[in-house]
Order: sequence, then C-alpha cells, then structure tokens
Amino acid sequence: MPSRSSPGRIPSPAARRTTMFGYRVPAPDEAMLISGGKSSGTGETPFRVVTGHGAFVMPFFRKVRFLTLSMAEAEVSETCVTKQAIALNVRAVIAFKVGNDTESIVNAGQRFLSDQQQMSVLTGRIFAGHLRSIVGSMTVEEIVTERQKLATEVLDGSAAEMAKIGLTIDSLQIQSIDDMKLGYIAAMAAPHNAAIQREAQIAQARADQAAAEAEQESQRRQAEYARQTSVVQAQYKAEVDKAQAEAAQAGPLAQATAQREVIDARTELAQREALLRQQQLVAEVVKPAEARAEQVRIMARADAEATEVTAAAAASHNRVALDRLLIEQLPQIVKEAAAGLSGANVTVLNGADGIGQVAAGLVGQGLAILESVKKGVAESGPQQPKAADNGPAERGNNHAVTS
Amino acid sequence: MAADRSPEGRTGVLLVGTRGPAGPGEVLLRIRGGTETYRAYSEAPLAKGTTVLVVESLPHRAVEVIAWTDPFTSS
Repeated sequence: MPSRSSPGRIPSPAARRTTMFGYRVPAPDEAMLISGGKSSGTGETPFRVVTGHGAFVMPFFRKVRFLTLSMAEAEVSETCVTKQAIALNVRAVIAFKVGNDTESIVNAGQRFLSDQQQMSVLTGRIFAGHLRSIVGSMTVEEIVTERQKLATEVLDGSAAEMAKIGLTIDSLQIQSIDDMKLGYIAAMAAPHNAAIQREAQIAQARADQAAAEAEQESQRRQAEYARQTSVVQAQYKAEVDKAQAEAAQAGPLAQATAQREVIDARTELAQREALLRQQQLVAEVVKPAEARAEQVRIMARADAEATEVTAAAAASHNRVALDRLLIEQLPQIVKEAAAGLSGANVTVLNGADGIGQVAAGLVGQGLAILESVKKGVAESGPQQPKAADNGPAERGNNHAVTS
Repeated sequence: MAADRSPEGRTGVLLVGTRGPAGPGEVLLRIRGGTETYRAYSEAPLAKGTTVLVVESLPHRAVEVIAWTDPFTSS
C-alpha cells in the first residue's frame, strides 16, 4: 500500500545555556537527559531525567541532551479498507507528544533523541499501520459519525503501542475520507436522503390533507352558516310578509272604515243640511209668513184699536183728544218759543190757564211767532223784539210763572 | 522529581469508558501540576464520565482504576 507522510512542524531544541559552573536548566517544554553519571536514587534509569529545574552538569564527565516535550503533529494519508471491505482514502492528523513521566521520556529519548526533527515522520509512518487497523475495524458510517468508537479504536489499536515508544496521543482527527469515486458515501446518504424526502413528502401531504380538511370544514361551516342565514331570512321574510299582508289588509280596511266614516259624516251633513234647510225654510218662509200674519193681525188689531179709539175719540172727547194732542205737542213749541224769546225781557208765562191761552194763541199764530222769534234771535240778542210790544207776551216782567 | 510522580492514589474522570476485559478506557488525571491522560483498565466496565480512583500503575502509561465516590463530597 502506498504510504505518504509529510513531516509536521517540530519545535527546534532550545539553545543550551552553559553557565560558568556547568549549571544547566532545561526549557519548560524540554526534558534534560544527563548521561554519564552513576545513577543515583532509584538507579533504574539509564540516565538522569531532569524536568522543570536545573542541575549541575560536570564537564567532560557528563553529557547533556535535551528532548522536547512539546506537541508535534503527523499527517497521514493512507488507503485503508473498512470493515465492509470498502477502500477509502483516509487523511488523518495525529497530535502527539512525549509523555511527561519518566518512563515515557526514557523510552522516547532512547528512540528519538538523535533525530528529533524526524519524530513526526517516524510517528506518521508508525501510525499509518495503526490507522489501517483502526479503519479496518470500523464501518464507513462509524468513521463518519462515531467519534467515541474512533477514540476507543485508537486506544485499543495504537495507544498502547505508541505508549511503548514513549508517545501519548493527544488527538486523532480524521480529516477526510474519499471513496475514490466508488459512490459509496453518496449511496450511503441516499436512503437517508430518500427517507428525508419521503418524510418531507408525507409531511407535505399531511399538511395538504390538513389544509384540505380545514378548507372543507370551513366550507361546511360556511354552508351551515348560509343555511342558518337562509332560515333566519325566510323567517324574517315570513314575518315581514305577514306584517305587510296585515298592513295591506289594514289599508283597505282603514280606507273602508274611513269611507264609511266619510259616508256617515256626509249622511250627517246631509241630515244637518236638511235640518238647516228646514230651519232656513222655517226662518225664511214660515217665520216671515207668521210674522207677516202676526203683523197683519197686529196691524189689523191696531187698526181696529185705532179705529176704535178714533171712533171713541170722535165720539166722546174729540176736542179733548185733539187738545191733548196739541198739549202733547206744546212743550216743544213752547221750548222753541222760549228759545226764541230767550234774548227778550219777556217771561213766558205758562201757567195752566196762561198756557192754555198763550198756547192757543201761539198755536194760532204759530209760525208767525216762530218767525219773529227767530228774527229776534238772529238780530242782536239784547234788543227787544218788536213782537214783544204786542201780544200777550208783554203782560209784564217778572211775573211768576206757576205750573 | 516531577517526572517521577506516580498516578497511584489519584482520582480522575473517564474520558472513554472502560470495557472490562474487552479493552481499556481513558482517564484524565491531575498530576504534575497539569492534567494527563492514561489508559485505564478496570475489571468491570465503567461508563464515560465516571469518577475513578487509580489503584495500580501499569507500564506504558496505563493504570488500574476502580469506580470512586468521594466520601467528603458525596452526601
């Protein structure tokens, strides 16, 4: 099998500081190996291993070498065959270091001290076989996914062997696996991919189904609501129709009632008019006729009475009646005469006897006196009328008038 | 010397579970001021994450461990 290892980065050994008295101190990441002396202490190690502190080194009798303890890495690219006999090109990186304990330092020192730069190369070459065994005990799926299995395989296959040469594996990373266009890895993904897609399709179908169910449910609900609405609307319509029918019936009914009332009113009006006409007839015809009849009766009675009076007067007191009439007329005449004579120094005597005479005279002279009086009045008031010189009016002044 | 420190008597945590006779696990021990990993063998399988006590030091950075509960921290 072709194997290719590339040397990793290895830290160069620290500069050795030589003191005046041969006191040597290793760097923190170094182990100082002092050889040449009689082993003291346990005496089991072939050389003194000093880490972390300094030590006196006797010149010429002691030889000092430094072994690096820092981490190194080896990159391995190896064609491996898996548990399923599938050839894979595996690239891995191993991070390792020399163990800190004395045993590891001694083991590693005896193996790598002379060529520490080649430690990673050697480790890579060593590890290539381990990688084959590790990969050979695993399936492709385990290599891809099972980190714990990989760690266990590393422990089983190579950790013990690496520990033998004083190296501890800090980490093994499979960087890439390539099935060299076999298509296995793609095929390995296919079922999962198909399952995923199937799940996705199933989920999509379920979602569609749920959506359809929801939609159908929604339509059913809508239909139910529409039905309920129709029922309610029909109920309302029935009620409205009923009300409208009642209203429509009520219209003619009211109209009929109104017409009946109108007819009643007209009937009453006609009756009233008849009554009024009757009353008018009574007022215009009957009453006037009655009045005329009454008038005629009254007039006839009056005429009769007048005739009777006249007749009686003429019969009995014709003269007296006439005098009475005259007497009744007298006060007016006298009043006029007095007014006419008001400006004269004449006192009209109108005693019972005097009146009779004077009145008779006045009446007799009537108009003449009135004329004279008026004349006297028309001329200046204080002047004595000439009429006062003659006539009974000059009987004297200041005669008391008795009535 | 620090390099001579023995892992015996130290407690640690299993990074990789032991499998009894089937194979070792890996234990992380506090030793020499830092932490180091040793291959850990035990008679009975111990799960990853178990606190273990190192009872014996084996060659090539391997130890024998038993399950351990700290009597001072455990209730």
